[in-house]
Amino acid sequence: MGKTKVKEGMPDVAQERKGLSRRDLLKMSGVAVAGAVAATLPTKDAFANAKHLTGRRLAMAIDLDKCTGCHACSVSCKSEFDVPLGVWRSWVKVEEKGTYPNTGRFFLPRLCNHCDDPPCKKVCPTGATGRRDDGIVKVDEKKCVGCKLCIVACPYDARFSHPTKKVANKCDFCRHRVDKGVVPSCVNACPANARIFGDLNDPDSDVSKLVSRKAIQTLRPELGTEPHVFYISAEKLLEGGERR
Amino acid sequence: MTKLTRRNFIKLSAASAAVVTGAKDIFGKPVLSGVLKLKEAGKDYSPVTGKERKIIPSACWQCVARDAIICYVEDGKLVKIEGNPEAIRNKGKICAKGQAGINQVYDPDRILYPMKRVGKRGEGNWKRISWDEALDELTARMKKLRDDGHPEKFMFHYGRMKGSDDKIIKSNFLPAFGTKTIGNHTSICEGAKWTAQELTWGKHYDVNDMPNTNMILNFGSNILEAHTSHIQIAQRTIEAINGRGVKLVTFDVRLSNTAAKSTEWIPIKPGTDGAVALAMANVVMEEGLYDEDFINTWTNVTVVQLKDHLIRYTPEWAEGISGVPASKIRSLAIEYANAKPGTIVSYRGAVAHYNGVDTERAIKTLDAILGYIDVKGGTCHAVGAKWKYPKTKGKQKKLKIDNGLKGDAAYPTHHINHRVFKAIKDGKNGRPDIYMFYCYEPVYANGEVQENIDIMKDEKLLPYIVSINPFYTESSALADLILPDVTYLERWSWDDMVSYEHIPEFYIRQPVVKPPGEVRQFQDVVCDLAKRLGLKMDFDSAEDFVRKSCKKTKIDFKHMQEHGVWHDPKAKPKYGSYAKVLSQKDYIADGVIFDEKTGVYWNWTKSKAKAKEEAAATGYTDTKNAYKGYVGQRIGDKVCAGFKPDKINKSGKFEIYSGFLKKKGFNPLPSYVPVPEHQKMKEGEMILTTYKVGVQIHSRSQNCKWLTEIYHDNPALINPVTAKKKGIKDGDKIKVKSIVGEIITNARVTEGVHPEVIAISHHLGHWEYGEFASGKKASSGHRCEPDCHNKWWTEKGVHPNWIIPNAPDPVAGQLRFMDTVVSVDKA
Amino acid sequence: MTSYDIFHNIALNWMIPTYFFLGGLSAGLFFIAVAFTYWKTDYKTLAQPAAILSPLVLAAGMGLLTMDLGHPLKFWRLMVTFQPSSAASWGTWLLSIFFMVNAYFAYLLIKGEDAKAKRIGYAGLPLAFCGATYTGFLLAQMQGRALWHTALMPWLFLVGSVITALALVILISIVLGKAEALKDKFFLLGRTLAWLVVLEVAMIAIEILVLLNGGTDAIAGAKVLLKGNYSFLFWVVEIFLGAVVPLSILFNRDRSRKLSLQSIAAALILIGIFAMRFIVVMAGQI
Repeated sequence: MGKTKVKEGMPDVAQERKGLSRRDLLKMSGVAVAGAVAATLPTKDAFANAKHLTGRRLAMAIDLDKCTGCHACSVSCKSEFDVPLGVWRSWVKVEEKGTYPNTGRFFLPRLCNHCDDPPCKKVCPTGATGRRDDGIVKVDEKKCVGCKLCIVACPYDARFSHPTKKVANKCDFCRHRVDKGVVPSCVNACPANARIFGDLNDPDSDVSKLVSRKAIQTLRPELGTEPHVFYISAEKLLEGGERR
Repeated sequence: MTKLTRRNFIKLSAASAAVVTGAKDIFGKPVLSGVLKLKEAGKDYSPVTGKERKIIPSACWQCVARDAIICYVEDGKLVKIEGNPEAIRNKGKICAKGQAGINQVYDPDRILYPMKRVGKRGEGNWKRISWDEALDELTARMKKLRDDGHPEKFMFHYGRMKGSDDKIIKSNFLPAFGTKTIGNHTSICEGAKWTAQELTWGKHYDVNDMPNTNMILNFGSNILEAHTSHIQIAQRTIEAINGRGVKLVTFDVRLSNTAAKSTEWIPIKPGTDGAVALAMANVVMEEGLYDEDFINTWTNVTVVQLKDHLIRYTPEWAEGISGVPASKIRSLAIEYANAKPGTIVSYRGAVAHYNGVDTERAIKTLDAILGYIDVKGGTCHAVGAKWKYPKTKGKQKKLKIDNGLKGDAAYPTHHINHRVFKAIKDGKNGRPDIYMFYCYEPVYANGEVQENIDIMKDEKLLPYIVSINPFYTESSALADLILPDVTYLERWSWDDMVSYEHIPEFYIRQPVVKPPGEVRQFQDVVCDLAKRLGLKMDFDSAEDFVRKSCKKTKIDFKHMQEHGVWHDPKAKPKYGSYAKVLSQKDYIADGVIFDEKTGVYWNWTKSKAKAKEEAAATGYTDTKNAYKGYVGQRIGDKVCAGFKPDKINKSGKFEIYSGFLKKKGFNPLPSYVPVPEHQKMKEGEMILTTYKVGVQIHSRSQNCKWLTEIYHDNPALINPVTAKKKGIKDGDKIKVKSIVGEIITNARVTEGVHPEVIAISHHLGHWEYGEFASGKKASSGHRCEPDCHNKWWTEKGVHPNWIIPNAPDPVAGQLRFMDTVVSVDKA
Repeated sequence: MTSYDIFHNIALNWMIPTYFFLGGLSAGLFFIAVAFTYWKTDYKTLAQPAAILSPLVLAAGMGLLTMDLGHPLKFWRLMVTFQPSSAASWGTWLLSIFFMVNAYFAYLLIKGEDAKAKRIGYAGLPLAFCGATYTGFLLAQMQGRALWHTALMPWLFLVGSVITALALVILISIVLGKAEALKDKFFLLGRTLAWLVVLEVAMIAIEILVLLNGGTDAIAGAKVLLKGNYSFLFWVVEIFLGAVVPLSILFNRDRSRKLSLQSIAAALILIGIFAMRFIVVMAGQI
């Protein structure tokens, strides 16, 4: 099986892709400028849908001001699920920008965005990838045949083919913990408390308040996936930031 | 009406399907209803079976911060490590390294049995032997030394050893055996910082009170990726800068993650932090922003003396030296003075230099003249747990080699371990017959790696080498006998790291899994050795020692087993304990005399003086170990606790003027001493600096696959302007050459480094230490696991220590890690 | 930049583009078989080989697809459910039915039951059409992949499938010796093939031009083909060997008459289309 990897020494042309497009910029600044509650939430359609569903909508907010790029979350996730080397359910992207002495470095923790309209679910031919009522997008390993279409369908590179189990795998918001009343592993691990997790439909939850009151961005919003991982202070990444 | 696009259609059908099926997810599992209440910590479940995972509290050992952890065990296998939520120090958090501790336990290259060398040293051929064979051999050699009346020829050299692990060895076994030929590692760490503090305010470890401070200056510390109290200080710093908007200004030669998150990163020329600190102090004095009361009451200088001394250190002068703009120095000084209070963090970036001691003294002086010492929100004395534990007395002799060669340093209060090998080579003060090293890398962690290897290979210099190590490292590869140690997750100890809550926290380390193979905790082996040698110690195992310590300290052992941590619920943080007024019964007591010259009350019986008259005549300052008897300091008409001295007979005052430095020909007031090599640099030469990253610790975490997966290459960081001048492009092979030697490594052109600096992390460049660290399987045995095949990186880095001289700073003997002048050219 | 970059494996390997190639080929062969039997009856002699090859090629493609699965033996899971949003699910069902129709059609043709075959053949045409285009849609429905998310993708696949089928038929005919019998009519096939290739290249050119006028992802994707990792395959194999050289043969009066050259052209076109499938799948994942 081909194990082609996208190596660091890729031509600059591919590195360019990591920048946000002008359309993203406008969309994001539009979100920030609008400021109002409605503007900062996912599209009205999705929100309306969310309200239709009984119960909660789990979401995560990540405060990039607090994130120090320590990778406690990356390793905690690896550890929780004994994820093999070479693949990640959650990781941190590091970008440097600026010119000496005004150089900056920024960190973008990444994980499955648990979209409301997940492209992975869309393409799954067996129905193994599904979306719970509470928003968690998960893989039923019994049903997964390993066609890998979901892996390429994900615009965020959040999924991978498990090297030994040969099925699709990704972050599932630690549903085995959440269902038993404990926060996801990465949320617990973050020493800076940069990850906030909870029920977006509960107006009293921390995540709901943050998403309502702060300017938030999601990744590649123009794709219509309606991701539910919200980044705070991502504007610092706009010049050389991460899209996928 | 929304147009029925294909997307909507799918969404609606999904939504309606969900509505139809009711409050269940699409797999039919019920969705929790009601308000979502999630516990932050303290429980974990198997993602496969859903079974609750068993918790065993313990303490981390991946770095010196030694935070409290909880370990999750599933069917006897350690599966997850999290911070102990009951700990007041690290508040339930640990870093990436701490969580990767699991990798230490299941390292496929772990040594499982005692190993004896076959063939020549360094050939890598080993024979597995039994513990009895190993200890018989070792005991015989050790017994012979004792019988011959030369126990000091048994040298014990440790790197990381703290808490009860340390006390069992240094306060029991070694005294019982009779040797004080002990090596540590502090001189490659921050020896200069500690000596500077001992010359100035007393016992080392400064704790920056982040939760209450209003401004933070940072000279050369990478708080968010390293620091001796990493998680404790990092989480509190983030809370301060993020939650309260506290300004953090970082002076660093490169853009560390800390510099990246700081309000401002100020690049600075290596070794010039002292100049900036002194200039800032000058501005403070000039602008009249100083705390006159503190200076007059608690320091041993006057305002006039300070002004006279500091006047020459103008911001403009400092700009010429350091490259930091004068206006910035001036404005920062004023801002910092008005912070009331502020605190300064300083670490190896500032002190691992020729002038490290002066730099640290200058920095502490800056805090002192502003009255930020030991106040809420300022720079405070450290508070750690004070355990009571069994001790064994014994007459100890020592080979005078722990301070390197004669004249290496004036006050090596933490010894000069990186020059022990040179002293051994020199031989004037003797050579150990048995060289035993524990959690230490004499080859890899010091400079001049080639010389370290050559000395270790020479059986004339080191006849018998014993390595206590769970892993097959570069140094263990050159030993004669390897005794397999447990990892920290399989051992018993108590620990006592400083607390940023200013309330001591007692905590223990206990085995969370059964050790594999025949590995034994070294402290248990020591008890075994003691029995074989006929030495009497009051405990028979590490666990016994911990139990007895708990009993002596009046802490419930069972509570420790279940919770891992304990602190006195009635304890409150104390600031300004130096100002505590002592009552007469404290300083009018048996053995306590008053030293007129310094104003110190001290108990001469605790010093090396033989009689009261002798003590009084020689005086406090000049009596050996007088500091051990320090009681209090006369301040005006009162006697106060003062700034308790350590290692040096400092008075109880905050000694900005150091008579000790004057005695050895150094400037008694903190001054700027330029690094000599930097004054003689040729055109194009650069300064080599080393650095840490958040996911690795020195030389002993690269076998952790989850960490090395993230960081497995240490290219040399070089500024684009400098690179262009030298015709170097990103990824090019370059030759970095110093007076010691040269290395060929890859260049990483980055805007995040000072143009005169080339920065190479010292974590990487292993050639042993197992599959993940170096790609080389251990000669002591390798047990493949699935992830060995998933290892996707081939890089292992190039170690900079090959070309770093083992040069000591003249005051403390600190290894000048950040001073090396190198030539850098395209290879 | 630090050494902190983390990256993922590329999930789809050579098996997928090969399957696309074979699947498209099969659909195209079916179409040609029906066309040559009932419309362009001049070429009836070529129809049978096409009809027989079609299900075989399809079986090979489906076999390859199954082998590529992480759990090949679990393929039955694809057959017990239908996911309307997934082009792959549509494809699974479609191909299963198409295969049966395809095989039956070939069987009927061999048996000589032309009339019955006609009904089956005509019934199979929409299935063939869907079979050829659904793979394009499979890629196009992934809105995150700029190289794939284009309205042209199903059409590129459709035209590509006819091209490969025609090229293979030409090749086989020459090999089986049926070409001489058709004389001039045979060269018309070559000409038709040539124009189809022109159409395909035109679509590729349009696609790239539009990409270059798109957002950062689109531009970067186009550049991978034009200047990046896959530029050699693209320019040398797909365009030069796969189009320029064959077209210079097929459009040239003299060269196009030589059967040997025609077979070379056909072979190169097959290689070119395969390269195209390969590049699209692999480059799209970067």
